[in-house]
Amino acid sequence: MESVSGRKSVLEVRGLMRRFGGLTAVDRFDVDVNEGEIVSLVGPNGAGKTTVFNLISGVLRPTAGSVRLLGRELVGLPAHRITHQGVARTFQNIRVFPQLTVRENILLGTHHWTRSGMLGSVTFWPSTLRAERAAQAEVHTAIDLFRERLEARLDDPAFSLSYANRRRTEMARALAARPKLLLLDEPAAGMNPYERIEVAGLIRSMRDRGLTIFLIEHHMPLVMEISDRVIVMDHGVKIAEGLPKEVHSNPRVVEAYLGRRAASA
Amino acid sequence: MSAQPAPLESVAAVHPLKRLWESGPSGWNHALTRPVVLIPFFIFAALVPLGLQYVEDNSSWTDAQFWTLILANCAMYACLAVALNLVVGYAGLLNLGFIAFFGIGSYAYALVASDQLHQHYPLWTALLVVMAVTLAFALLVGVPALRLRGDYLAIVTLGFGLIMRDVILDLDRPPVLAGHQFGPDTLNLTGGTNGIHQVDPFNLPSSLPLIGPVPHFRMYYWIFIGFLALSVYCVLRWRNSRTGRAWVAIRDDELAARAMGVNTFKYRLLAFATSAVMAGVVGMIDAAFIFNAFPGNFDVQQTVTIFIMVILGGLGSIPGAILGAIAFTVPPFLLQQFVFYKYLVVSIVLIAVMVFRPEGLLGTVSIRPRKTMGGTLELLTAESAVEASELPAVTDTEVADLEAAAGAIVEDPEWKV
Amino acid sequence: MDYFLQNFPQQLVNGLELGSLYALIALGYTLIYGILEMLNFAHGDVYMVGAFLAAGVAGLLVHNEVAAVPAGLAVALMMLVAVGGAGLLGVGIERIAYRPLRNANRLAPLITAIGVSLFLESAVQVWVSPAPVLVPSNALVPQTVLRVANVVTPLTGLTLFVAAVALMVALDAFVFRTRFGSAMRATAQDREAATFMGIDVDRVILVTFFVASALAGMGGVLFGLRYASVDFFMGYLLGIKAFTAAVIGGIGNIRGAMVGGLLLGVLESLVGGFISSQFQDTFVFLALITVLLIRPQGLFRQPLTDRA
Repeated sequence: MESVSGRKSVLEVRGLMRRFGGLTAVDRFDVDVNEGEIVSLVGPNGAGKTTVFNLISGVLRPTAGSVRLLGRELVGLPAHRITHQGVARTFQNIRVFPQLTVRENILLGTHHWTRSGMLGSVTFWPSTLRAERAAQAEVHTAIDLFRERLEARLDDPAFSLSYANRRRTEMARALAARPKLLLLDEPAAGMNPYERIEVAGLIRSMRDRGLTIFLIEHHMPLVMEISDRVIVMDHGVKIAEGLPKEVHSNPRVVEAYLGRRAASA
Repeated sequence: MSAQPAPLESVAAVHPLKRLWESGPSGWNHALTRPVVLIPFFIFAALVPLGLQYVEDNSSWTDAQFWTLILANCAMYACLAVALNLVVGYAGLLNLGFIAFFGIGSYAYALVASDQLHQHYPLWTALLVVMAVTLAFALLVGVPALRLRGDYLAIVTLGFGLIMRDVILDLDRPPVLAGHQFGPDTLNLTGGTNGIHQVDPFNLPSSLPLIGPVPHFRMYYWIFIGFLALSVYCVLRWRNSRTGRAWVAIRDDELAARAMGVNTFKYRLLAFATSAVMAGVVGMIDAAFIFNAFPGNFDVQQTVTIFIMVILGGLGSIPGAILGAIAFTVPPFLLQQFVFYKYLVVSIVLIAVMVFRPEGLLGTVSIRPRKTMGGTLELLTAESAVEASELPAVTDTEVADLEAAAGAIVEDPEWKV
Repeated sequence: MDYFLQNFPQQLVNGLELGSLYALIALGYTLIYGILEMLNFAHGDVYMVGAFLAAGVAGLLVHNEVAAVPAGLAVALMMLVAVGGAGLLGVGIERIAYRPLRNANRLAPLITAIGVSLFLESAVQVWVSPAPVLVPSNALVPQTVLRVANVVTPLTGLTLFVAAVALMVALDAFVFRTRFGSAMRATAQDREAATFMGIDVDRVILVTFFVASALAGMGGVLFGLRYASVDFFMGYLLGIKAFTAAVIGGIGNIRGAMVGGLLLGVLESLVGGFISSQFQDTFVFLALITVLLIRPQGLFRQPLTDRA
């Protein structure tokens, strides 16, 4: 397993395991993600990738194992506290809040780091006003990456958006949470080639801004292009890890995707 | 990637009213909740009884008091509808025991401002007591119940309402547990089926500068309108704040809300408790207004009636809630001979609205059946298919587990792309 | 302590009788929840309508304490009308009020259900009678009281118990041993996949509602014969208690509903007899909250969908 010396470890997962009755969805999974890295998690459908994300972000409780963010143990914390520790994510099937506007969706991202309560809202309390202003400013920072795409739609309800715009909104929302670790679950799903190029650019820009990114993706060319490292899972187990090129030609990986005959071909 | 072209809009093309009409319910809602509409509305509402009095003084018409009473009643229900809208429309919590908090407020005030316990607290002290008592009950029910999923919360609150009614009816004598009597024989806390009588009205001046003497019914109409204005202001401010966004997020997609750092339990509790306390204060005003606190204040039919006001007006819409309140208080008063059929009509209208137009008149919440977007597609791309052996989830954590396992969105309002 | 020991058997028997009524209604709750994941608030009111239908038939057939037809026939007719009528009512409710909202936000059918509940109560209150209606059970069933040691129970009470158990066994066989029953279980597990298997989901749901409501109707008849009086509000509190029983047993689980009902009946009877009859209902409510907090899946973990 590679590690770049001198770089701080952002995510450290050891022995992560999750069982559902008789099925072991994730079996002793380890991963290290260092600051500023883009690490991709790939594997056939049903491999357990999204489950790993759910375990890290606190949506599911692990049967065993440990997840450390910047040294701080996350296992056992409720999901909303894990977000507060610095983990933000997007979902495979885009979960924006349909009845909230784009702006409000992104503002939701700022929820965990702004302080403004009910009493403050009705009394125009100064600290509340300041917090609201800071949050509104963050919205503009967050949509900056998307150039003008979302600007015109800021006050439209999210259910009226196109698929691509919904994905952008979800990403902007995750960015607005000012995370230390960003989990992207299939960011390029359902996109045409032009949009995929945009997504690749976005991910790189986010990394350039200092984010550490752990992503799940099916589109292999995209993975090859932007990843520093690739991890391959199958049936809940990590079967390969390394530089994109190494992993690509690994016979175990080919077998996992295409079957034994293809691997020996 | 070029910038989007500038919108082609010719300024003179669409008349603003037509544009407003075309913007649909959410547009109408937005327009109606602006201060430029609300402030004149409340000023107008405040002047109505004076206008009625003027008409009465200058003609042979003598129903000013009758109409003011109806409108006071209407204003009271509007306050309750706005409070219910907060908990059901914004936060998506089915509080089917809602009216119990109104009853608790009325009895709490009656107990500290009548001869039942020989206490006669002044207004502001009584208000604090009422708010504290209502809050206590809200926490008592809310803390255990709000961890549960929607349907379970609904039935627990329904049960709570029923129990409160029974307890109120039974406390006209000292409670007896396992053969031990708690309290002296003469202990009569709630007056049982009769309720509490001769409740003190608020200690208010009986005449105001510039306006002159103010009869009881008009004073309380103004108090209700005033509280309505305060409620509307607060609810709208909350909706446009971090708290309101968290509420709607929880209602729309609880899992995603948690993933964004929202402590869903805390915000559910905030919504639940706030709406309960609002209802309690309305109960207090009512007790002072009619000088009585009745066990009928706890009837579940009342909760359903307020629900229909909110649903008809449109979930999530404040102007809608007020319209709904008017729709279901004024006609019953005018059609007194049909009052026996009131709940029959209420229930039929509720069912009809839910079946044909669940978003009501001005609703901003989409609870319509979705077209199968979710469903099979998500099942096919889901990571693990383990629900078969999973338990039917009751608590939210377990629902999250299942949802996450299936990768599916459980509650998915209609997407209009 | 002596008092306790002396009266315990009687309270136990009372509780079993009460509990079998809860069990009958709880079965319906659990069936509908298993299929649609929906709590049918109006279920208790369907029971009430069944009871009124039975009372109506009895009122037609009995004049001046004498039955116009042989008592057995009268009772059979009452059951037929109540069970069939309640079943059809349940089907009608599903068709009109719930089906349009089947794929909507989960809140929606609940709100509708509360509307249906209020409708049924108001309809009976306004169009039948706001006051309790008497059932001439004297003329229809033997009023014998069985006595064993110090414990008494009316024959009608014992019948209630036996009938409930028999119906539960029959339902169990229906759901787990017949082809249609496996269609029901498939639909409960995964509605969409069931349609792929060629199962007519609409029909399955219809039949489920019919069976659940018919059971409630039967409960209504048995109640009317036992207690000789029905009123428009009787389904409301009972519905909540039956729901509590279903939760205790494990919502979605048939055997759980039976056990939960009996258990709740016994507990309630014991509390009522030894602690306070005033706060009996409060106790039931507290039991509900406790179970939901501590062991929300109830006694029997496996739902209707799995092997019990």
